[in-house]
Amino acid sequence: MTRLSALLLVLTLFIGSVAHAQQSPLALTGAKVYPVSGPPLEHATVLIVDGRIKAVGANVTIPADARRVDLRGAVLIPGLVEARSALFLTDTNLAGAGAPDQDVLDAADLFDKEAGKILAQGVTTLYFSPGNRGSVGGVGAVVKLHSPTAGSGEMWAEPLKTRAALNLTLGLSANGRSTSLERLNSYEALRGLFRGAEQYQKAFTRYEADLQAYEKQQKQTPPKATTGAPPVGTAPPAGGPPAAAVPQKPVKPRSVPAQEVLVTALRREIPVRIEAHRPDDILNALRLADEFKLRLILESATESAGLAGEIARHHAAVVWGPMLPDGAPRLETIHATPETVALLARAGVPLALSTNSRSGLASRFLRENAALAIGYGLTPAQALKAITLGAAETLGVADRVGSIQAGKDADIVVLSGEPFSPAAQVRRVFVNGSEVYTAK
Amino acid sequence: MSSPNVTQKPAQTSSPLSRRAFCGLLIAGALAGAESSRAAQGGTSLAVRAEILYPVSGASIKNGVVLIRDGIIVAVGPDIPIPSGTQVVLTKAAMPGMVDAHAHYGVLYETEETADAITPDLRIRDGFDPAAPSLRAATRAGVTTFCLMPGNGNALAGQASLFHLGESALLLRDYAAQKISLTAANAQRNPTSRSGLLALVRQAFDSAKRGQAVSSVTQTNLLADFPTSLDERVRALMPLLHGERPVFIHAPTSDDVENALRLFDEYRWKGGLLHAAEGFEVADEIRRRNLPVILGPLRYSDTDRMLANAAKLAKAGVKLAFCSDAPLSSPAGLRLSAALAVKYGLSPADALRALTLSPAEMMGIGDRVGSLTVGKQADLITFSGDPLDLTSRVETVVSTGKIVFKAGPR
Repeated sequence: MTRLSALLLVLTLFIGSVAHAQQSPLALTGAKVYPVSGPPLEHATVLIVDGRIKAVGANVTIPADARRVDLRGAVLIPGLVEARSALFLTDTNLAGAGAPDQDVLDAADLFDKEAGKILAQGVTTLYFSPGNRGSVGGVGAVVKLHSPTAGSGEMWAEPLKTRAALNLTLGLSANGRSTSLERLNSYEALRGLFRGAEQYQKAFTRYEADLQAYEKQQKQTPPKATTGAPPVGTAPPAGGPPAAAVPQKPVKPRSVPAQEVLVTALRREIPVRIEAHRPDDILNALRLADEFKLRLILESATESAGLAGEIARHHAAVVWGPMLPDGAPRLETIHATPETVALLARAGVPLALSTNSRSGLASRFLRENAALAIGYGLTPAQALKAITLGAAETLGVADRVGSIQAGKDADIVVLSGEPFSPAAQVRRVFVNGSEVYTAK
Repeated sequence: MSSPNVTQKPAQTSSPLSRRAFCGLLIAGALAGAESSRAAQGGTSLAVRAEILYPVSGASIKNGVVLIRDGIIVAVGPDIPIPSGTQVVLTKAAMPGMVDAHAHYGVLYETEETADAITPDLRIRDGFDPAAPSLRAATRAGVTTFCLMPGNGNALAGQASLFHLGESALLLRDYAAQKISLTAANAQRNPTSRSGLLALVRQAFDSAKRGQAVSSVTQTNLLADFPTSLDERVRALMPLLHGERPVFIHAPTSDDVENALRLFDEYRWKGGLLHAAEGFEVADEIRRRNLPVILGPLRYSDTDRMLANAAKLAKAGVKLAFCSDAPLSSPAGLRLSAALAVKYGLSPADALRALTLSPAEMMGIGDRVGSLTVGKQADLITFSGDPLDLTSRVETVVSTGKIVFKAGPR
């Protein structure tokens, strides 16, 4: 499928889902609600109109035509947000020996039915991450899961934000082999990348200035109808202006897609997500962000126990996880201490908790992973935020998802118990106000 | 399972195969252990009172007390008077120290000798680093006993050793088990196929009966006049053929499991299956042979089928143990494995047993560790809540009656 037709399909699906949501208002009543944006509410109502949350609270006026769902005894939390996922990607496509403009969506199989298992565990939004094997992974996308009509062949995902971030990697060992020289090289390679992008950016700035100057001059001295510009190479008439003063129309620099992505990062339009594990690599990531004034999201930050304050001072966010290794460890992760996540939270570092696996299936345990984080020192409120609003903020989609708040998409998970109780089962999942999963 | 080499004292071993001196580092460990047990003989006592106590050997006890003297459990129950002057640990929940049935602590990058596929004489503990950081992580996670096993890269991979873990690792049994891996076929060397591997393993045992050793690096695999080092290979296999040591077979897929079952039938070994992620497909066959299964570590990335494996095996009546594979995974993953298995249908009681008493029984030390029972070694973990609730944290770890880990304030 070509990229254009894929995008058209996505667009159709998106419009389709919005149209589908325009039905009678929906009122979820009687449940305990964790809005995450505020304190929990007992016996609250969530009113949903046109796929969006219209009102939340204990005294919400329910319109007469609203469909009511009695959820007394249940607990509502926002649709969970997975800040790093390999869903829809095969292992090959995770390789990411990439260029900055390599778009993860191009490698995605959005028809992958495993998405249904993840949706059934309440995960409704995920950052669809490029691979980390090379130092440049490419750009990732934030997608929202929904449930296609059975047998329709529709996709399981709808892009919420494409080109959402640029993924980079610092000092990652390949197959357990690693040298300090390679670390230095990979850091210098990334610096070189951004220096090149600065030059590229300057070339355009210079071009714009030259063009303006040229156009201004053209206006001030309209070309004489009779003579026109002197032919190139002819000597100026004696006493006339020197040749250099005759403005040449500047040539527009060639647009390079990879540079364009880097420029959006330099302009802070998209964040740069750098996977780094060792303290030296984490510090290098902070230095890189300082040097080029990047918006930084640290991925993994395994050995950041002693650097929590430093990370907070740099206003970098951290995508932390998994709490326990989900595969054979690499050299970078053998010193992982799960207690570090609590130190980051205490230092005020914006935090997203992720299962961060090479397997897309892992995302179905986002809630269990957050439960583990509580065992290692996060408060339940911090843990819930790190898989909802905190993750949405990190992904730059908090205007749409991450909390049960008026104006946001109605992405809501109905649980049978407290969010991190082992007995709490997912009963229903709503996305854009539509029930996309119902427990049997 | 017979356990002729287990005595009442931790550091003893009397196997004829282990008369060699311990390596220096282990002596240090053993001395430290002896010192702590001398201290215990001074009459130190400890009581743990838990809102809910899981002895594992029996039903859970509300407001249960475990009374410990000289490193041994002397009383367990709801109404145990605590003598004055006894140090008391108050907690929400307590369970026995965990028994990690298959781990590689301290041998991260040397889990087998791949120069030869047949190394039954290799003792993985010879490459063991008692100062490895993963051991401290194991203590913090609540592991008090572990079986140090070779990796999955060799056919007849070598001898596993049992260790008790407290402030240091203490050798419990030198030759505790033999490890066979059915996935050690390797295109780079002999054997290069599953069938070749099975043939080689059979050849090794059949030849051993005739006093001949086998190696995978010769043309014929048969060495008529073996040098002394190969003599060790034969000697390492005899206790297996006599049922004196268990054999654990790494058999991840259902066809591997079937091959393993055939080997158990042919050679009448004792032992069990390792990492049998598709064991549920032949659960009844496993049960019929009374073979236990060591599973894990279960991971987020496992398929639903793999995660439901434990529940299905338990339902068929198969005895289960979880293992960490640490440091290839975290020792804290033991509890995660159990919690994930419970989410996929295993009963909490079976899950706790698979972390404690069942692996102890598989390793032939079920009479010493694995449950909170009078007379057993006092190894236990206290938690801030239910042990299978992932939000609970390990608060205290007691090994042989001594507090070896205490969590800091929150």
